[in-house]
Amino acid sequence: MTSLTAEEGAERSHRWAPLLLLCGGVVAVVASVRLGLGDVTQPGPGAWPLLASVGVVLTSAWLVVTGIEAPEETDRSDLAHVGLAVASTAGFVVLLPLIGMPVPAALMITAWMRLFGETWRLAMLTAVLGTVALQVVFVDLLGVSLPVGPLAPGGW
Amino acid sequence: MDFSGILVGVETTLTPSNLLFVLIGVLVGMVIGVIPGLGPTATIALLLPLTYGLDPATAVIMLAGIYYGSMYGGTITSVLLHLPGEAASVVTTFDGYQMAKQGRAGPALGIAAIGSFIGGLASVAGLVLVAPLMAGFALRFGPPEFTVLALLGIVLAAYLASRRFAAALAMAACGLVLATVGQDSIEGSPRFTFGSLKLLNGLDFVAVAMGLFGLGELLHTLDRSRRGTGEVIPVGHVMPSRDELRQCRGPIARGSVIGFVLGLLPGGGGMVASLSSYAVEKRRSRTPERFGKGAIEGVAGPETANNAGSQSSFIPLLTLGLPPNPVLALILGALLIQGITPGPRLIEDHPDIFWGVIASMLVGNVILLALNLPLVRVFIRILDIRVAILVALAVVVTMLGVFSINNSIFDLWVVLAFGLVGYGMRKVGFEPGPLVLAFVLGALLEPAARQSLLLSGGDLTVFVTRPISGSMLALAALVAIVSVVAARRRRALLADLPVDESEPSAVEDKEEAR
Repeated sequence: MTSLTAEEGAERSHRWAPLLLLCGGVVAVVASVRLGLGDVTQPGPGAWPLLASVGVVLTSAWLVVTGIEAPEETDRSDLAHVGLAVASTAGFVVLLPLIGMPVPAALMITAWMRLFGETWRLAMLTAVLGTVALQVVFVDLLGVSLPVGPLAPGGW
Repeated sequence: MDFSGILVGVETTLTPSNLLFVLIGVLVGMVIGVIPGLGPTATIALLLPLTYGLDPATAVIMLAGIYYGSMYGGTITSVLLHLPGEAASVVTTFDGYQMAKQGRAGPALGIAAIGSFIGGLASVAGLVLVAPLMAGFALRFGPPEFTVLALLGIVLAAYLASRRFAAALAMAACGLVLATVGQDSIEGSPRFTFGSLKLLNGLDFVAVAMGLFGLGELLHTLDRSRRGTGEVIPVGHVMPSRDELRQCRGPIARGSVIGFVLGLLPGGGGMVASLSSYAVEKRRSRTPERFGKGAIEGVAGPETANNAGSQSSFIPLLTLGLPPNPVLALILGALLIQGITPGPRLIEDHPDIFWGVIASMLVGNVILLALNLPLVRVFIRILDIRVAILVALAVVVTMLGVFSINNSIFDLWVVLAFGLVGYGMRKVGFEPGPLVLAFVLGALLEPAARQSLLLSGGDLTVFVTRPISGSMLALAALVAIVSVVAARRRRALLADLPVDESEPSAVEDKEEAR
């Protein structure tokens, strides 16, 4: 029901993701049993997780056998882009409690804009205006208390 | 017929602040409907934290507005760019875009707006009639009935709204496992916390949803150009001619009914409703060969149905506490955060929420009709905004929004982790919808299942032998059979639809996340 031809579909079919899931499911089954299953009248803390993780094991095992199709091609430059985007977002999370919101937010916006192939000029303009707008919305209008951070120069 | 309920709703809606939030909701919905790639699920996930400080009724009124507002907005890009703004508008690309190429973009948009409006009103009327009956019936539900219904709901939703049933079930099972992270609700012992105190309260629902739907979707926009060609087809006059209106009377009437009924079922809502309506209109037509080549009925029916379906899908949530699709799962999450568990008692305990949402849909649809007939050109301008700016700002909004809930940096790492997982899932062929649906329901399901066993003294047949749960199961089996047959027909229809090879993304999106 997609526009894939049978060949393309077969090319994108893979088993590693279901296999990974299957491993996770097995770990969850073991961990659930260790939690204690109780009995039918008094199910223990592990009973429900066991049912759910057996569900994971069965369905993923089925997918390991039949394979699953990736809906689209992925090329390496895509993954590199996404990696950089995730890294810039992780940087934001690390810096936020240290130096407050404005600088990390501006950096993250610049990074994402550049990853979209926008010019430095537009990226930095968006970063500055966007950060000011977010500061106004979140801090001044919604009253969210964002960390100022011990390293920030006197806060915002 | 007792109209005091709907009067409470009208009263709730007509307060200045709620009117403002209906307007905000439908405006946001329209805008994100227009932007390809950013659907109602992602947007509602992004805005969840902002509803935290609102009154519960106001919060749900706004989120509902976003959902059905996006049903209107999604039409615009489907017709003008051959790019569905959100999943439920995919069907509209078939005939809407062809109409636009023939210089009839205006009437295509016009009839979609009129159909959506009528479907919306019909759905509200249905809600007023059916919802209280269903809530009354559901009052007799105990934990066994809830357990059976919720599990069946998850399974059916996984079947109807996904490309691969097994993959959707796998994700639903993962959702159930993730929901058990934290303290056991009955005995209090820690589960899957890896010794971390921060995990003792479980994974925060908003952080998980915003990671999978919000950040995951934003990361996905980086490697996929869904920006279209940028060539927007001129619109011209919007009002359909008298002949066209006459042609669409039947499709709009049938679309209202199909949309309303399918919205009630698990896995229902806008997307399934619009596909089914298209199938019905094509089958009923004396000239089915016109479909796919600019038949106005192929726009009118589905657009009516998707709006009617998006609204009636509130019934299962408001009366049974069961969200039939991921968007409603997010709205359930928003209510749970506010300390309100929707269910059969909602109509008694919180009539302002129950009736307020329903009445707000009346107001919302009137606003949307105005936005879509005279003001539609303003929204078309949105297509000029660069995607990069929207996405970059949305990332910061996501992170700040999640932080604002618990003032917790740990939650930000949860978002990042689930964002990466959400992105990966889309790449390898899993969908996040069933996971989030099961994750939300898991927190309610486990206590219900355990209470059922306590009640019955360990007798597992409690789930099938009680008169209500037994007949629910029988009814559900019937619904399942009917839905499976209908889904097969839909899939068959999808298989022989005209596919423009230059637009592979539009075809793949048909079956994508709802």
